[in-house]
Amino acid sequence: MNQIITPAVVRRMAALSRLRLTDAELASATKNLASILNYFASIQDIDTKDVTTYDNATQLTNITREDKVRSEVLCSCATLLALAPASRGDHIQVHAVFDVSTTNNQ
Amino acid sequence: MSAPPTISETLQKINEWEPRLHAFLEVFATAARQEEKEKKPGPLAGLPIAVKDVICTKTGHTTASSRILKQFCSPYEATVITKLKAAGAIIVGKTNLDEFAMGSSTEYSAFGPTKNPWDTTRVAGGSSGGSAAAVAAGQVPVALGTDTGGSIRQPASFCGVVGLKPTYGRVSRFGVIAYGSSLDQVGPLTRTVKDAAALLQVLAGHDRRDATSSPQPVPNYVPACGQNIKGLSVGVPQEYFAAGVDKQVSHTVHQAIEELESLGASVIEISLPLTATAIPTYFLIAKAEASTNLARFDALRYGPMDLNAATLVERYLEARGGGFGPEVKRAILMGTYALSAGYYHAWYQQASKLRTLIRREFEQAFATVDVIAGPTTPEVAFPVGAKTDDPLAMYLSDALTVSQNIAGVPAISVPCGFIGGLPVGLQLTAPHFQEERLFQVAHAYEQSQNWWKQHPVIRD
Repeated sequence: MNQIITPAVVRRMAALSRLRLTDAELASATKNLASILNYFASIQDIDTKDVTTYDNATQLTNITREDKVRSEVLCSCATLLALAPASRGDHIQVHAVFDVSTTNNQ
Repeated sequence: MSAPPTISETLQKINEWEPRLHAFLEVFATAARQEEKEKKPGPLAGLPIAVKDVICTKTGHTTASSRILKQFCSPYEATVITKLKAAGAIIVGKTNLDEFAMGSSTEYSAFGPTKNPWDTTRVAGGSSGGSAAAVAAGQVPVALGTDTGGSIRQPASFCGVVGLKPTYGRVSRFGVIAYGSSLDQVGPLTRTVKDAAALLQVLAGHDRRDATSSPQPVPNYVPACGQNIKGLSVGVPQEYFAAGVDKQVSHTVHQAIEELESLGASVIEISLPLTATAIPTYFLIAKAEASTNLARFDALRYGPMDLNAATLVERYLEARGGGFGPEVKRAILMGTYALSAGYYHAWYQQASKLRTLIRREFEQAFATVDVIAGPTTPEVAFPVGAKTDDPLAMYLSDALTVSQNIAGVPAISVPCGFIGGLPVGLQLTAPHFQEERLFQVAHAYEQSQNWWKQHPVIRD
Protein backbone atom coordinates (compact mmCIF):
# COMPACT_ATOMS: atom_id res chain seq x y z
CA MET A 1 0.00 0.00 0.00
CA ASN A 2 2.83 2.36 0.92
CA GLN A 3 4.15 2.37 -2.62
CA ILE A 4 0.91 3.82 -3.96
CA ILE A 5 1.71 7.30 -2.69
CA THR A 6 4.85 8.56 -4.37
CA PRO A 7 5.95 12.14 -4.98
CA ALA A 8 4.84 11.69 -8.60
CA VAL A 9 1.30 10.76 -7.53
CA VAL A 10 1.10 13.72 -5.16
CA ARG A 11 2.44 16.03 -7.86
CA ARG A 12 -0.24 14.72 -10.23
CA MET A 13 -3.03 15.30 -7.65
CA ALA A 14 -1.68 18.81 -6.98
CA ALA A 15 -1.75 19.57 -10.71
CA LEU A 16 -5.30 18.20 -11.07
CA SER A 17 -6.52 20.31 -8.15
CA ARG A 18 -4.57 23.41 -9.23
CA LEU A 19 -2.52 23.54 -6.06
CA ARG A 20 1.06 24.82 -6.07
CA LEU A 21 3.23 22.93 -3.58
CA THR A 22 6.74 23.87 -2.51
CA ASP A 23 9.35 21.07 -2.46
CA ALA A 24 9.03 20.87 1.31
CA GLU A 25 5.22 20.66 1.07
CA LEU A 26 5.48 17.94 -1.56
CA ALA A 27 7.78 15.91 0.67
CA SER A 28 5.62 16.26 3.77
CA ALA A 29 2.36 15.65 1.87
CA THR A 30 3.84 12.45 0.40
CA LYS A 31 4.94 11.23 3.81
CA ASN A 32 1.68 12.11 5.56
CA LEU A 33 -0.65 10.80 2.86
CA ALA A 34 1.30 7.55 2.67
CA SER A 35 0.96 6.99 6.41
CA ILE A 36 -2.72 8.00 6.47
CA LEU A 37 -3.73 5.85 3.49
CA ASN A 38 -1.68 2.97 4.83
CA TYR A 39 -3.81 3.14 7.98
CA PHE A 40 -7.01 3.52 5.92
CA ALA A 41 -6.18 0.54 3.68
CA SER A 42 -7.79 -1.85 6.21
CA ILE A 43 -11.20 -0.96 4.77
CA GLN A 44 -10.30 -2.74 1.57
CA ASP A 45 -10.37 -6.10 3.36
CA ILE A 46 -14.10 -5.75 4.07
CA ASP A 47 -16.38 -7.57 1.66
CA THR A 48 -18.84 -5.06 0.20
CA LYS A 49 -19.62 -6.92 -3.02
CA ASP A 50 -23.38 -6.84 -2.49
CA VAL A 51 -23.56 -3.48 -0.71
CA THR A 52 -24.89 -0.40 -2.47
CA THR A 53 -23.14 2.95 -2.17
CA TYR A 54 -24.64 5.59 0.07
CA ASP A 55 -25.72 8.37 -2.22
CA ASN A 56 -28.61 9.98 -0.42
CA ALA A 57 -27.77 11.42 2.98
CA THR A 58 -31.27 12.79 3.58
CA GLN A 59 -33.29 9.82 2.30
CA LEU A 60 -35.48 12.48 0.68
CA THR A 61 -36.73 12.17 -2.89
CA ASN A 62 -38.21 14.59 -5.40
CA ILE A 63 -37.07 17.85 -3.90
CA THR A 64 -39.04 20.06 -6.24
CA ARG A 65 -40.81 23.36 -5.92
CA GLU A 66 -43.28 25.28 -7.96
CA ASP A 67 -41.71 26.62 -11.15
CA LYS A 68 -42.36 30.23 -10.31
CA VAL A 69 -40.11 33.28 -10.27
CA ARG A 70 -39.71 34.74 -6.82
CA SER A 71 -39.33 38.48 -6.54
CA GLU A 72 -37.25 38.45 -3.34
CA VAL A 73 -33.53 38.89 -3.64
CA LEU A 74 -30.89 38.00 -1.09
CA CYS A 75 -28.96 41.17 -1.74
CA SER A 76 -28.94 44.01 -4.22
CA CYS A 77 -26.76 44.41 -7.27
CA ALA A 78 -25.20 47.45 -5.56
CA THR A 79 -24.24 45.37 -2.50
CA LEU A 80 -22.55 42.76 -4.66
CA LEU A 81 -20.66 45.37 -6.67
CA ALA A 82 -19.53 47.15 -3.51
CA LEU A 83 -18.07 43.90 -2.18
CA ALA A 84 -16.30 43.01 -5.42
CA PRO A 85 -12.64 44.04 -5.69
CA ALA A 86 -13.23 45.59 -9.12
CA SER A 87 -16.29 46.39 -11.20
CA ARG A 88 -17.23 48.01 -14.47
CA GLY A 89 -20.78 49.30 -14.92
CA ASP A 90 -23.15 46.71 -13.47
CA HIS A 91 -20.57 43.95 -13.81
CA ILE A 92 -17.98 42.42 -11.52
CA GLN A 93 -14.62 42.65 -13.21
CA VAL A 94 -12.51 39.50 -13.14
CA HIS A 95 -9.49 38.27 -15.02
CA ALA A 96 -10.03 36.68 -18.41
CA VAL A 97 -10.84 32.98 -18.27
CA PHE A 98 -10.13 32.39 -21.94
CA ASP A 99 -6.68 33.27 -23.15
CA VAL A 100 -6.89 34.75 -26.65
CA SER A 101 -3.72 32.99 -27.74
CA THR A 102 -5.23 29.59 -26.94
CA THR A 103 -8.70 30.23 -28.40
CA ASN A 104 -7.65 31.46 -31.86
CA ASN A 105 -8.49 28.22 -33.57
CA GLN A 106 -12.16 28.23 -32.48
CA MET B 1 -33.79 30.19 29.15
CA SER B 2 -32.21 31.88 32.15
CA ALA B 3 -31.90 35.69 32.03
CA PRO B 4 -29.12 36.56 29.57
CA PRO B 5 -26.21 38.82 30.50
CA THR B 6 -26.23 42.35 29.10
CA ILE B 7 -24.08 43.24 26.09
CA SER B 8 -21.80 45.33 28.34
CA GLU B 9 -21.26 42.37 30.67
CA THR B 10 -20.64 40.15 27.68
CA LEU B 11 -18.10 42.51 26.11
CA GLN B 12 -16.31 42.84 29.44
CA LYS B 13 -16.02 39.06 29.76
CA ILE B 14 -14.75 38.85 26.20
CA ASN B 15 -12.09 41.48 26.96
CA GLU B 16 -11.00 39.75 30.16
CA TRP B 17 -10.55 36.32 28.62
CA GLU B 18 -9.61 37.09 25.06
CA PRO B 19 -5.84 37.71 25.54
CA ARG B 20 -5.64 34.25 27.13
CA LEU B 21 -7.90 32.32 24.75
CA HIS B 22 -8.14 33.86 21.28
CA ALA B 23 -11.66 32.49 20.93
CA PHE B 24 -12.82 35.33 18.67
CA LEU B 25 -11.75 36.48 15.23
CA GLU B 26 -14.02 39.51 15.28
CA VAL B 27 -16.25 41.16 17.91
CA PHE B 28 -19.27 43.22 16.84
CA ALA B 29 -19.30 45.58 19.85
CA THR B 30 -21.02 48.54 18.19
CA ALA B 31 -23.61 46.51 16.30
CA ALA B 32 -24.39 44.43 19.41
CA ARG B 33 -24.88 47.52 21.61
CA GLN B 34 -27.17 49.01 18.94
CA GLU B 35 -29.24 45.82 18.66
CA GLU B 36 -29.59 45.66 22.44
CA LYS B 37 -31.18 49.13 22.40
CA GLU B 38 -33.73 47.97 19.84
CA LYS B 39 -35.08 45.44 22.40
CA LYS B 40 -36.36 43.01 19.81
CA PRO B 41 -38.85 40.55 21.37
CA GLY B 42 -38.74 36.78 20.85
CA PRO B 43 -37.88 33.50 22.55
CA LEU B 44 -34.18 34.48 22.62
CA ALA B 45 -34.72 38.21 23.36
CA GLY B 46 -31.45 39.92 24.23
CA LEU B 47 -29.42 36.69 24.20
CA PRO B 48 -25.79 37.37 23.22
CA ILE B 49 -24.51 34.64 20.92
CA ALA B 50 -21.17 33.99 19.22
CA VAL B 51 -21.06 32.36 15.79
CA LYS B 52 -18.38 30.15 14.28
CA ASP B 53 -16.71 32.05 11.46
CA VAL B 54 -17.73 29.53 8.83
CA ILE B 55 -21.34 30.76 9.00
CA CYS B 56 -22.08 33.79 6.83
CA THR B 57 -23.12 37.03 8.52
CA LYS B 58 -23.74 40.35 6.81
CA THR B 59 -21.94 42.08 9.69
CA GLY B 60 -18.15 41.85 9.59
CA HIS B 61 -16.09 39.23 7.78
CA THR B 62 -16.61 35.52 7.20
CA THR B 63 -13.14 34.00 6.85
CA ALA B 64 -13.45 30.28 7.67
CA SER B 65 -10.11 30.98 9.42
CA SER B 66 -8.42 30.88 6.02
CA ARG B 67 -5.98 33.30 4.43
CA ILE B 68 -7.87 32.82 1.15
CA LEU B 69 -11.02 34.40 2.66
CA LYS B 70 -9.27 36.95 4.87
CA GLN B 71 -10.99 39.87 3.12
CA PHE B 72 -14.34 38.18 2.46
CA CYS B 73 -17.53 39.92 3.56
CA SER B 74 -20.69 37.97 2.81
CA PRO B 75 -23.39 39.81 0.84
CA TYR B 76 -26.06 37.65 2.50
CA GLU B 77 -26.51 35.80 5.77
CA ALA B 78 -27.05 32.15 6.65
CA THR B 79 -30.60 31.01 7.41
CA VAL B 80 -29.56 30.18 10.99
CA ILE B 81 -28.46 33.79 11.46
CA THR B 82 -31.78 35.12 10.12
CA LYS B 83 -33.61 32.78 12.50
CA LEU B 84 -31.54 33.78 15.54
CA LYS B 85 -32.07 37.47 14.84
CA ALA B 86 -35.81 36.97 14.32
CA ALA B 87 -35.90 35.25 17.73
CA GLY B 88 -34.30 38.31 19.34
CA ALA B 89 -30.72 37.00 19.75
CA ILE B 90 -27.78 39.39 19.35
CA ILE B 91 -24.74 38.23 17.37
CA VAL B 92 -21.71 39.51 19.32
CA GLY B 93 -18.95 38.15 17.14
CA LYS B 94 -17.34 35.43 15.07
CA THR B 95 -15.33 32.64 16.63
CA ASN B 96 -12.10 30.93 15.66
CA LEU B 97 -11.96 27.49 14.01
CA ASP B 98 -9.64 25.15 12.17
CA GLU B 99 -9.33 26.39 8.59
CA PHE B 100 -12.52 25.48 6.69
CA ALA B 101 -13.56 23.47 9.78
CA MET B 102 -10.89 20.83 9.11
CA GLY B 103 -9.20 19.85 12.33
CA SER B 104 -9.68 18.85 15.94
CA SER B 105 -7.78 21.49 17.90
CA THR B 106 -8.34 24.92 16.24
CA GLU B 107 -4.55 24.94 15.69
CA TYR B 108 -5.10 24.80 11.91
CA SER B 109 -6.62 28.30 12.01
CA ALA B 110 -4.64 30.68 9.79
CA PHE B 111 -5.04 33.25 12.58
CA GLY B 112 -3.57 31.31 15.52
CA PRO B 113 -4.96 28.66 17.89
CA THR B 114 -7.67 28.97 20.54
CA LYS B 115 -6.62 27.89 24.04
CA ASN B 116 -8.60 25.85 26.52
CA PRO B 117 -9.98 28.02 29.37
CA TRP B 118 -9.42 25.20 31.90
CA ASP B 119 -5.71 25.10 31.04
CA THR B 120 -4.36 27.55 28.50
CA THR B 121 -1.41 25.28 27.63
CA ARG B 122 -3.99 22.88 26.15
CA VAL B 123 -6.11 23.03 23.01
CA ALA B 124 -9.80 23.92 23.02
CA GLY B 125 -10.55 21.12 20.56
CA GLY B 126 -11.95 21.72 17.15
CA SER B 127 -12.97 22.63 14.76
CA SER B 128 -15.51 24.77 16.71
CA GLY B 129 -12.84 25.49 19.36
CA GLY B 130 -13.52 29.23 19.52
CA SER B 131 -17.24 28.68 20.18
CA ALA B 132 -16.58 26.02 22.84
CA ALA B 133 -13.93 28.07 24.66
CA ALA B 134 -16.10 31.21 24.55
CA VAL B 135 -19.05 29.41 26.18
CA ALA B 136 -16.86 27.60 28.73
CA ALA B 137 -15.20 30.85 29.81
CA GLY B 138 -18.55 32.63 30.02
CA GLN B 139 -17.60 35.15 27.33
CA VAL B 140 -21.02 34.34 25.87
CA PRO B 141 -23.81 32.15 27.27
CA VAL B 142 -24.29 30.28 23.97
CA ALA B 143 -22.62 29.87 20.59
CA LEU B 144 -23.12 28.21 17.23
CA GLY B 145 -20.76 25.63 15.81
CA THR B 146 -20.75 23.22 12.91
CA ASP B 147 -20.10 19.49 13.12
CA THR B 148 -18.86 17.43 10.17
CA GLY B 149 -17.14 14.67 12.18
CA GLY B 150 -17.31 15.85 15.78
CA SER B 151 -16.48 19.54 15.44
CA ILE B 152 -19.16 20.59 17.94
CA ARG B 153 -19.05 17.63 20.33
CA GLN B 154 -15.27 17.18 20.62
CA PRO B 155 -14.49 20.81 21.61
CA ALA B 156 -17.59 20.81 23.86
CA SER B 157 -16.11 17.78 25.62
CA PHE B 158 -12.63 19.34 25.85
CA CYS B 159 -14.02 22.61 27.25
CA GLY B 160 -16.70 21.17 29.56
CA VAL B 161 -19.82 22.49 27.83
CA VAL B 162 -22.85 20.97 26.12
CA GLY B 163 -22.56 20.46 22.35
CA LEU B 164 -25.27 19.12 20.06
CA LYS B 165 -24.97 17.81 16.52
CA PRO B 166 -28.53 17.58 15.21
CA THR B 167 -29.75 14.99 12.71
CA TYR B 168 -28.41 15.64 9.21
CA GLY B 169 -31.05 17.84 7.56
CA ARG B 170 -32.59 19.08 10.82
CA VAL B 171 -30.97 22.52 10.54
CA SER B 172 -30.48 24.49 7.31
CA ARG B 173 -26.95 24.67 5.93
CA PHE B 174 -27.75 27.63 3.69
CA GLY B 175 -25.02 30.23 4.09
CA VAL B 176 -22.66 27.83 5.84
CA ILE B 177 -19.33 27.41 4.03
CA ALA B 178 -19.29 23.76 3.01
CA TYR B 179 -16.72 21.19 4.15
CA GLY B 180 -18.35 17.78 3.64
CA SER B 181 -21.80 18.58 2.33
CA SER B 182 -23.36 15.20 3.14
CA LEU B 183 -22.04 15.38 6.72
CA ASP B 184 -22.14 19.05 7.84
CA GLN B 185 -24.66 20.22 10.45
CA VAL B 186 -25.01 23.44 12.45
CA GLY B 187 -25.68 23.11 16.17
CA PRO B 188 -25.54 24.86 19.55
CA LEU B 189 -22.82 24.94 22.22
CA THR B 190 -24.25 25.90 25.61
CA ARG B 191 -23.71 25.57 29.34
CA THR B 192 -26.88 23.56 29.93
CA VAL B 193 -28.91 20.97 28.04
CA LYS B 194 -32.04 23.08 28.35
CA ASP B 195 -30.32 26.00 26.60
CA ALA B 196 -29.31 23.65 23.77
CA ALA B 197 -32.95 22.55 23.45
CA ALA B 198 -34.17 26.17 23.40
CA LEU B 199 -31.64 27.05 20.73
CA LEU B 200 -32.42 24.03 18.54
CA GLN B 201 -36.09 25.05 18.75
CA VAL B 202 -35.18 28.24 16.92
CA LEU B 203 -32.65 26.73 14.50
CA ALA B 204 -34.51 23.61 13.36
CA GLY B 205 -36.85 23.31 10.42
CA HIS B 206 -37.15 23.09 6.68
CA ASP B 207 -35.56 25.79 4.56
CA ARG B 208 -36.42 26.02 0.90
CA ARG B 209 -32.95 27.42 0.29
CA ASP B 210 -31.39 24.13 1.42
CA ALA B 211 -32.77 21.16 -0.49
CA THR B 212 -31.20 18.78 2.05
CA SER B 213 -33.09 20.33 4.97
CA SER B 214 -35.88 18.08 6.18
CA PRO B 215 -39.63 18.77 5.99
CA GLN B 216 -40.06 16.61 9.13
CA PRO B 217 -42.13 18.62 11.69
CA VAL B 218 -40.15 20.25 14.52
CA PRO B 219 -41.34 19.00 17.94
CA ASN B 220 -41.29 20.98 21.19
CA TYR B 221 -37.80 20.28 22.47
CA VAL B 222 -37.69 22.09 25.82
CA PRO B 223 -40.37 19.97 27.58
CA ALA B 224 -38.16 16.91 27.01
CA CYS B 225 -35.84 18.44 29.63
CA GLY B 226 -37.35 17.34 32.90
CA GLN B 227 -38.93 14.10 31.78
CA ASN B 228 -37.62 11.18 33.78
CA ILE B 229 -35.72 8.38 32.10
CA LYS B 230 -37.29 5.41 33.89
CA GLY B 231 -37.55 2.44 31.58
CA LEU B 232 -35.39 3.90 28.81
CA SER B 233 -32.74 1.54 27.52
CA VAL B 234 -29.18 2.78 27.11
CA GLY B 235 -26.89 0.82 24.79
CA VAL B 236 -23.20 0.81 25.65
CA PRO B 237 -21.03 -0.34 22.73
CA GLN B 238 -17.95 -2.22 23.90
CA GLU B 239 -16.02 -0.70 20.96
CA TYR B 240 -16.40 2.79 22.46
CA PHE B 241 -14.17 1.70 25.35
CA ALA B 242 -11.64 -0.21 23.27
CA ALA B 243 -7.91 0.30 22.84
CA GLY B 244 -7.03 3.93 22.18
CA VAL B 245 -9.52 5.19 24.76
CA ASP B 246 -7.80 6.53 27.88
CA LYS B 247 -8.49 4.35 30.97
CA GLN B 248 -9.45 7.29 33.14
CA VAL B 249 -11.83 8.58 30.45
CA SER B 250 -13.40 5.09 30.26
CA HIS B 251 -13.76 4.97 34.03
CA THR B 252 -15.32 8.45 34.26
CA VAL B 253 -17.82 7.72 31.49
CA HIS B 254 -18.72 4.33 32.99
CA GLN B 255 -19.56 6.15 36.24
CA ALA B 256 -21.87 8.48 34.29
CA ILE B 257 -23.57 5.47 32.71
CA GLU B 258 -24.04 3.94 36.18
CA GLU B 259 -25.73 7.19 37.17
CA LEU B 260 -28.13 6.80 34.22
CA GLU B 261 -28.94 3.36 35.60
CA SER B 262 -29.60 4.73 39.07
CA LEU B 263 -31.95 7.27 37.45
CA GLY B 264 -34.04 4.36 36.18
CA ALA B 265 -32.60 3.56 32.77
CA SER B 266 -31.65 0.01 31.88
CA VAL B 267 -28.12 -0.38 30.58
CA ILE B 268 -27.46 -2.93 27.87
CA GLU B 269 -24.07 -3.84 26.50
CA ILE B 270 -24.11 -3.78 22.70
CA SER B 271 -21.60 -4.10 19.88
CA LEU B 272 -20.96 -1.81 16.93
CA PRO B 273 -18.19 -3.76 15.17
CA LEU B 274 -17.81 -1.27 12.33
CA THR B 275 -16.65 1.47 14.73
CA ALA B 276 -13.04 0.76 13.76
CA THR B 277 -13.79 1.47 10.10
CA ALA B 278 -15.43 4.81 10.85
CA ILE B 279 -12.25 6.92 10.71
CA PRO B 280 -11.15 5.79 7.22
CA THR B 281 -14.74 5.88 5.92
CA TYR B 282 -15.34 9.33 7.30
CA PHE B 283 -12.10 10.95 6.17
CA LEU B 284 -12.26 9.53 2.65
CA ILE B 285 -15.81 10.84 2.19
CA ALA B 286 -15.22 14.18 3.93
CA LYS B 287 -12.00 14.92 2.06
CA ALA B 288 -13.49 13.88 -1.28
CA GLU B 289 -16.39 16.26 -0.73
CA ALA B 290 -14.01 18.97 0.50
CA SER B 291 -11.83 18.69 -2.59
CA THR B 292 -14.81 19.50 -4.79
CA ASN B 293 -16.30 22.12 -2.44
CA LEU B 294 -12.99 23.99 -2.31
CA ALA B 295 -12.69 24.18 -6.10
CA ARG B 296 -14.64 27.46 -5.99
CA PHE B 297 -11.71 29.25 -4.35
CA ASP B 298 -10.15 30.13 -7.66
CA ALA B 299 -9.10 33.80 -7.39
CA LEU B 300 -11.96 34.65 -9.75
CA ARG B 301 -15.01 34.23 -7.57
CA TYR B 302 -13.28 34.05 -4.17
CA GLY B 303 -9.78 34.69 -2.99
CA PRO B 304 -7.14 37.30 -3.68
CA MET B 305 -7.50 39.12 -6.99
CA ASP B 306 -4.30 41.17 -6.96
CA LEU B 307 -2.03 38.47 -8.32
CA ASN B 308 0.81 38.85 -10.80
CA ALA B 309 0.19 35.53 -12.51
CA ALA B 310 0.44 35.59 -16.31
CA THR B 311 -2.02 32.82 -17.18
CA LEU B 312 -5.24 31.51 -15.74
CA VAL B 313 -3.66 28.28 -14.48
CA GLU B 314 -0.87 30.32 -12.90
CA ARG B 315 -3.52 32.35 -11.08
CA TYR B 316 -5.15 29.21 -9.69
CA LEU B 317 -1.83 27.77 -8.58
CA GLU B 318 -0.69 30.97 -6.92
CA ALA B 319 -3.96 31.81 -5.16
CA ARG B 320 -4.62 28.26 -3.92
CA GLY B 321 -1.01 27.41 -3.13
CA GLY B 322 -0.60 30.57 -1.08
CA GLY B 323 -4.14 30.79 0.33
CA PHE B 324 -4.69 27.34 1.83
CA GLY B 325 -2.96 25.96 4.92
CA PRO B 326 -1.43 22.49 5.35
CA GLU B 327 -4.50 20.51 6.46
CA VAL B 328 -6.67 21.99 3.71
CA LYS B 329 -4.02 21.14 1.12
CA ARG B 330 -3.86 17.62 2.51
CA ALA B 331 -7.65 17.37 2.26
CA ILE B 332 -7.65 18.50 -1.36
CA LEU B 333 -4.86 16.07 -2.29
CA MET B 334 -6.45 13.14 -0.46
CA GLY B 335 -9.91 13.89 -1.79
CA THR B 336 -8.67 14.28 -5.35
CA TYR B 337 -6.79 11.01 -4.99
CA ALA B 338 -9.81 9.12 -3.60
CA LEU B 339 -11.97 10.36 -6.48
CA SER B 340 -9.46 9.87 -9.30
CA ALA B 341 -9.84 7.32 -12.05
CA GLY B 342 -7.93 4.21 -11.02
CA TYR B 343 -8.31 4.88 -7.27
CA TYR B 344 -12.04 5.67 -7.05
CA HIS B 345 -13.29 2.09 -6.61
CA ALA B 346 -10.77 1.15 -3.96
CA TRP B 347 -11.18 4.30 -1.89
CA TYR B 348 -14.20 6.56 -2.36
CA GLN B 349 -16.64 3.90 -3.53
CA GLN B 350 -15.57 1.48 -0.82
CA ALA B 351 -16.03 4.22 1.80
CA SER B 352 -19.48 5.00 0.42
CA LYS B 353 -20.47 1.31 0.69
CA LEU B 354 -19.17 1.16 4.24
CA ARG B 355 -21.29 4.18 4.96
CA THR B 356 -24.35 2.13 4.04
CA LEU B 357 -23.20 -0.61 6.44
CA ILE B 358 -22.45 1.82 9.31
CA ARG B 359 -25.87 3.42 8.92
CA ARG B 360 -27.46 -0.05 8.97
CA GLU B 361 -25.49 -0.95 12.10
CA PHE B 362 -26.98 2.04 13.94
CA GLU B 363 -30.49 1.14 12.72
CA GLN B 364 -30.05 -2.38 14.05
CA ALA B 365 -28.77 -1.12 17.40
CA PHE B 366 -31.70 1.26 17.74
CA ALA B 367 -34.11 -1.63 17.23
CA THR B 368 -33.16 -2.72 20.77
CA VAL B 369 -31.99 0.43 22.60
CA ASP B 370 -33.33 3.99 22.90
CA VAL B 371 -29.99 5.79 23.10
CA ILE B 372 -26.33 4.85 22.81
CA ALA B 373 -23.85 6.12 25.41
CA GLY B 374 -20.07 6.37 25.50
CA PRO B 375 -17.20 8.84 25.72
CA THR B 376 -17.18 11.80 23.32
CA THR B 377 -13.41 11.68 22.90
CA PRO B 378 -10.72 9.06 23.55
CA GLU B 379 -8.77 11.45 25.79
CA VAL B 380 -9.03 14.86 27.49
CA ALA B 381 -7.74 18.08 25.88
CA PHE B 382 -4.16 17.56 24.67
CA PRO B 383 -1.29 20.07 24.91
CA VAL B 384 -0.97 22.76 22.23
CA GLY B 385 1.37 21.50 19.51
CA ALA B 386 1.11 17.81 20.48
CA LYS B 387 -0.49 16.63 17.22
CA THR B 388 0.01 19.37 14.64
CA ASP B 389 2.81 17.47 12.88
CA ASP B 390 1.01 14.13 13.00
CA PRO B 391 -2.22 14.43 11.01
CA LEU B 392 -3.19 10.79 11.58
CA ALA B 393 -3.00 11.26 15.37
CA MET B 394 -5.15 14.37 14.97
CA TYR B 395 -7.70 12.39 12.92
CA LEU B 396 -7.88 9.68 15.60
CA SER B 397 -9.07 12.19 18.18
CA ASP B 398 -12.38 12.06 16.25
CA ALA B 399 -12.60 8.26 16.50
CA LEU B 400 -15.80 8.30 18.59
CA THR B 401 -17.63 11.17 16.91
CA VAL B 402 -17.42 10.51 13.15
CA SER B 403 -19.83 7.53 13.05
CA GLN B 404 -22.81 9.73 13.90
CA ASN B 405 -22.08 12.02 10.94
CA ILE B 406 -21.61 9.04 8.64
CA ALA B 407 -25.02 7.70 9.69
CA GLY B 408 -26.64 11.15 9.94
CA VAL B 409 -27.93 10.53 13.48
CA PRO B 410 -28.03 13.19 16.23
CA ALA B 411 -25.62 13.17 19.18
CA ILE B 412 -24.89 15.34 22.20
CA SER B 413 -21.87 15.76 24.46
CA VAL B 414 -22.59 16.62 28.09
CA PRO B 415 -19.95 17.24 30.81
CA CYS B 416 -19.50 14.20 33.09
CA GLY B 417 -16.45 14.91 35.23
CA PHE B 418 -12.81 15.97 35.27
CA ILE B 419 -9.45 14.26 34.99
CA GLY B 420 -6.60 16.35 36.39
CA GLY B 421 -8.71 19.50 36.10
CA LEU B 422 -9.69 18.82 32.48
CA PRO B 423 -13.31 18.13 31.48
CA VAL B 424 -14.63 14.78 30.21
CA GLY B 425 -17.70 14.45 27.98
CA LEU B 426 -20.43 11.81 27.93
CA GLN B 427 -21.74 11.32 24.40
CA LEU B 428 -25.32 10.22 23.77
CA THR B 429 -26.56 9.20 20.33
CA ALA B 430 -30.20 8.76 19.24
CA PRO B 431 -32.02 7.63 16.08
CA HIS B 432 -32.72 10.13 13.28
CA PHE B 433 -34.85 13.10 14.39
CA GLN B 434 -34.97 11.90 18.03
CA GLU B 435 -33.21 14.93 19.51
CA GLU B 436 -35.90 15.00 22.21
CA ARG B 437 -34.57 11.72 23.56
CA LEU B 438 -31.06 13.20 23.74
CA PHE B 439 -32.34 16.21 25.68
CA GLN B 440 -34.37 13.98 28.00
CA VAL B 441 -31.43 11.75 28.95
CA ALA B 442 -28.74 14.44 28.91
CA HIS B 443 -30.82 16.80 31.05
CA ALA B 444 -31.68 14.07 33.57
CA TYR B 445 -28.00 13.22 33.90
CA GLU B 446 -26.84 16.85 34.02
CA GLN B 447 -29.28 17.79 36.78
CA SER B 448 -28.29 14.78 38.88
CA GLN B 449 -24.70 16.10 38.98
CA ASN B 450 -22.93 19.39 39.65
CA TRP B 451 -20.51 19.38 36.72
CA TRP B 452 -22.45 22.01 34.81
CA LYS B 453 -22.11 24.47 37.71
CA GLN B 454 -18.30 24.43 37.50
CA HIS B 455 -16.63 27.08 35.39
CA PRO B 456 -13.01 27.93 34.64
CA VAL B 457 -11.45 31.01 36.27
CA ILE B 458 -8.64 33.28 35.14
CA ARG B 459 -5.55 32.09 36.97
CA ASP B 460 -2.99 34.82 36.39
